[in-house]
Amino acid sequence: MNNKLHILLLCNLGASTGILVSKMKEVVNNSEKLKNKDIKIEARPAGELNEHITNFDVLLLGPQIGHRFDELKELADAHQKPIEIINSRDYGTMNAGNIVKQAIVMNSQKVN
Amino acid sequence: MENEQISFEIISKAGEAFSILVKALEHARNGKLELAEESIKNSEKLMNEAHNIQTNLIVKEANGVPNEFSVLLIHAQDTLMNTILMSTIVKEMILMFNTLKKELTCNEQ
Repeated sequence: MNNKLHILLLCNLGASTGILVSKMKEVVNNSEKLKNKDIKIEARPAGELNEHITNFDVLLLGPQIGHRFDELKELADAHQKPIEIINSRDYGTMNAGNIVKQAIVMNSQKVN
Repeated sequence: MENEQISFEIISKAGEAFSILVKALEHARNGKLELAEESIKNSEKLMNEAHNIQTNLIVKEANGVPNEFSVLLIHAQDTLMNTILMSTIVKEMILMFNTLKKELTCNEQ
């Protein structure tokens, strides 16, 4: 994988997703493979995507705003950033490890 | 299950159900009524799952086992309440849309 991976999680208010961010950071810090890489994870409300998009490599949407995917994808495409909806089973069970994996896969599939 | 995980299950299921309901409205607006019906069914399934988790919390409390409270749990309740309300309104709106459409086509003929 690339040495730099900045992940932006998007939801309505950035509230519940904020807890997920700390779980994901835990996963990164506990992984020998990941902890020395430049990994940044933040949660923001979807409405602020425009302000933050340039600072991130991959964008992940909470399943509760899946209906805004098309609208947000337009913006993501314009900045050539991959965007996906977080698997709702992983979100519901707070499976932070799987979500970090999802982001790594998205980042590696990116056309540069 | 921990309180935090219970809250996340509710937010995830109820939140996704809400999202599907918005899609159902979009399908109805585009005249794709079968897709709209299907979306409503899918959202109801998720909403009921979220509702069952909430019921379990209430049952637990009724049995004298106190629940641990947190803002996250309140947020979960809030998400579920929004979805239940949204579901009622979306179903009614799709019915209204169909009735209006029928009346319009009758008037045109």
